[in-house]
Amino acid sequence: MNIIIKLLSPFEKIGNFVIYTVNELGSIVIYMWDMMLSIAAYFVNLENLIDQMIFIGMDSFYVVGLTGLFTGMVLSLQAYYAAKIVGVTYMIGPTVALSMLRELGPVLTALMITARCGSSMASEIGTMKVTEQIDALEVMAVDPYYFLSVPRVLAAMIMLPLMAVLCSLIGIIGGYIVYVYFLGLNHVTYIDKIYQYVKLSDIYNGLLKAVFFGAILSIISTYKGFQTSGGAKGVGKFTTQAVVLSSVYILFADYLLTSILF
Amino acid sequence: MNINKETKVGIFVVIVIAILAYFSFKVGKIHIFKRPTYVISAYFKSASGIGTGTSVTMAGIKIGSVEKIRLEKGLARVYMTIDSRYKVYPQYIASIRSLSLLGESYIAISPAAGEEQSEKVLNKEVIRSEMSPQSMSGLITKFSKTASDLEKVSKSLKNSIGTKTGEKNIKAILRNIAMLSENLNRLVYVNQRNVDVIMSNFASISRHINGLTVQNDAAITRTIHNFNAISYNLRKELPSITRNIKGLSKNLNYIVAKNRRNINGSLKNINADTKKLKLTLNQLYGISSKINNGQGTIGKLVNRNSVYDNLNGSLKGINNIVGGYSRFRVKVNMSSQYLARSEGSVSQVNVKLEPSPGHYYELGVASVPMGYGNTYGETQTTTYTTNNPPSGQFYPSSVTTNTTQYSYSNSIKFNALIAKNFYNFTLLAGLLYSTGAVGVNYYVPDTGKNLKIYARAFGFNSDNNGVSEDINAGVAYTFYRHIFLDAGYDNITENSQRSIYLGGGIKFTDKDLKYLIVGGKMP
Repeated sequence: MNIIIKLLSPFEKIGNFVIYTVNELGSIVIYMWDMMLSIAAYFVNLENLIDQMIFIGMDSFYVVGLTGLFTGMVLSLQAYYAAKIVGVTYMIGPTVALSMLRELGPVLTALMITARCGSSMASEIGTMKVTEQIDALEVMAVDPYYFLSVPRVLAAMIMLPLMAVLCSLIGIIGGYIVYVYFLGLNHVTYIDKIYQYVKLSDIYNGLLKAVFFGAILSIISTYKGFQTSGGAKGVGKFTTQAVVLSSVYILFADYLLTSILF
Repeated sequence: MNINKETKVGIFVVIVIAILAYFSFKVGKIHIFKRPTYVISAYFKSASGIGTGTSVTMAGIKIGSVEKIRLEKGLARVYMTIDSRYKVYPQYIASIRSLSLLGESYIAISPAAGEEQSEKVLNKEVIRSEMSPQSMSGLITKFSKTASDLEKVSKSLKNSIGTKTGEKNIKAILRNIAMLSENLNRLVYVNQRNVDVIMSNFASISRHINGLTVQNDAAITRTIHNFNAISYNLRKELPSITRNIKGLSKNLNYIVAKNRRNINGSLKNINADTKKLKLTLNQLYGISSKINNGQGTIGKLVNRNSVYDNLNGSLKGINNIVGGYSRFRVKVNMSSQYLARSEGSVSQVNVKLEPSPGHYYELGVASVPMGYGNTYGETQTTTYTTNNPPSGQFYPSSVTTNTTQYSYSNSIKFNALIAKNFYNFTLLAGLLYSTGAVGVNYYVPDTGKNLKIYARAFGFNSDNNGVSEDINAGVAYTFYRHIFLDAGYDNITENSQRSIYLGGGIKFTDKDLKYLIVGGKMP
């Protein structure tokens, strides 16, 4: 009997993993459903929404801007080494612009904001959960979804595309700086070719991605906050989980969305 | 300043959306104010490499883009929308070109050479097209054709030159040429100094010839026109001429083929001739080396430095004289101005001496009204009345009456001015109406020095008794080369004397004077 149990233990682990994953996904769906109900019942807490928009938007501007600038510069430089061999250096502009607008702008913005704001959301709500402040809110007849989750999720969904636009634009400017001042190539070519090759759909599909990323990072971060248990140690653990899961899901969703959209 | 958070969010969102909207318009090529366009089309054998949106350029400038491509009768009909600012005529040619070997094609429209322009192309009209080789395979076939032609040429060359006798002759010719060039080199080396001097003189002489050609521009232009006419005729005749030449060369070819042996003989003769030439050059070398060593009369002449120094100096002197004289200009102008306030007039005759285009001297005589840079003649009359007063101080012993009488006996004045040109300005200084004066002229650009704005300040005398400083400014316009009108404002600084003046005059240059005095053709 013992041998059989030992033999079956890997299956037990697999079973546990499946149950855990399904449980987790189900909880997230339930969590999202609760938020919908909250919006239907109480609408949105505008004051908190604006606070979160400032936190995710303006306050993240430097981080996102710097990321975009250096990414664009590096892209321009790397593209030059490849394009020089074939003699198509005039294609560096479109290369930088397309990769920033379609891919790197939204993804890098989402990752940076996960690191900066997602972690903060998870730990803030987690601490409130651990110190029973959320229970207190419920006692005072304040819906915690209305007060905490909905503003964060909506703010992330609104601000992420805007930040992605800025990130892409700054990246293209960074590429321009390298192209014109460091590599000494023609500045008119850079801009002309971008206008020639970039299509409107490139920009808007990039923005659509950013909206999804915003939703993913904020929902996972707040959800992990609400799940927190186990004191100060638990806050740290769940915050880490929030950031890791958000990042992984963002990259996964990026692939899915790209294959659907483009 | 305290901005509340709602405003912050609002500003941020609006800025980002504005950026997004701007680039969307740019990238999507959405024009709020759409330029008017028209559509033309052209047939191409192949439209490979072009598609909707491909640029259409003329002389490298984008004038439109491809709207659509349809297949018609086995040809690709390419419709292009062209900006209405640019005109495309039916005889223009459209061709497909590519930026690089890797593709990226565009359509180039170029004007057809030597054809009259007709009316503008209308909507949906077809223009001519030509296919330029753009594929690699096409290029390679062309190259291989050229290479086979080259091979034939080299084979025939090998047959004519590659033989033993031909080779020997060529070797001999080359050897002689080498010796010849060596001798020439030596000759030049020996006479280097002299050659230098001669060259520098040539340079200065050519400079003057240049000046002469500038003066005779019209004649040269006429000559060129004649040449043009001749070449036009020649072009007409050219086909028949080339036909004749073709016939001739055919005959020549036949003759050559027949006389190959004779040609070999003549090559030998050339060989002998070059040998003779070599001998002659050797003798020449001997003579020139003797000259160089100072032997004989010529040698002594050539080798004495003073001779060519003198020659050089005198040539230089002639240069200067010829140059100076050809630049010298004399201009005369006579003018009269009517002063509205004092109803007087200023009349003057000036002679301009212009030794170079940069500066000139102006000398002249002027008749001016009273008070115009002019001393007042003032007479004082005193009357005494003596009627023997009884006593006391209450009666004046005398009465004094002051009478001021103006006269201007000295109304003829002299002008002497020095003027210097800077760009469009001329600065003047010197005597104007026999008083110290400065002035400035500004020639309005693009009027050929015909429109002049000027200002003068005069009346600066050491003995300033009765003479007032006077500043005037005006505009003068010259038409028909010799007549000018003049209007301005006199005595700007003084309220009581301010006056508008109007005037005019005639002016001549030395060329006109030559014509007037000697007669002949008007320049």
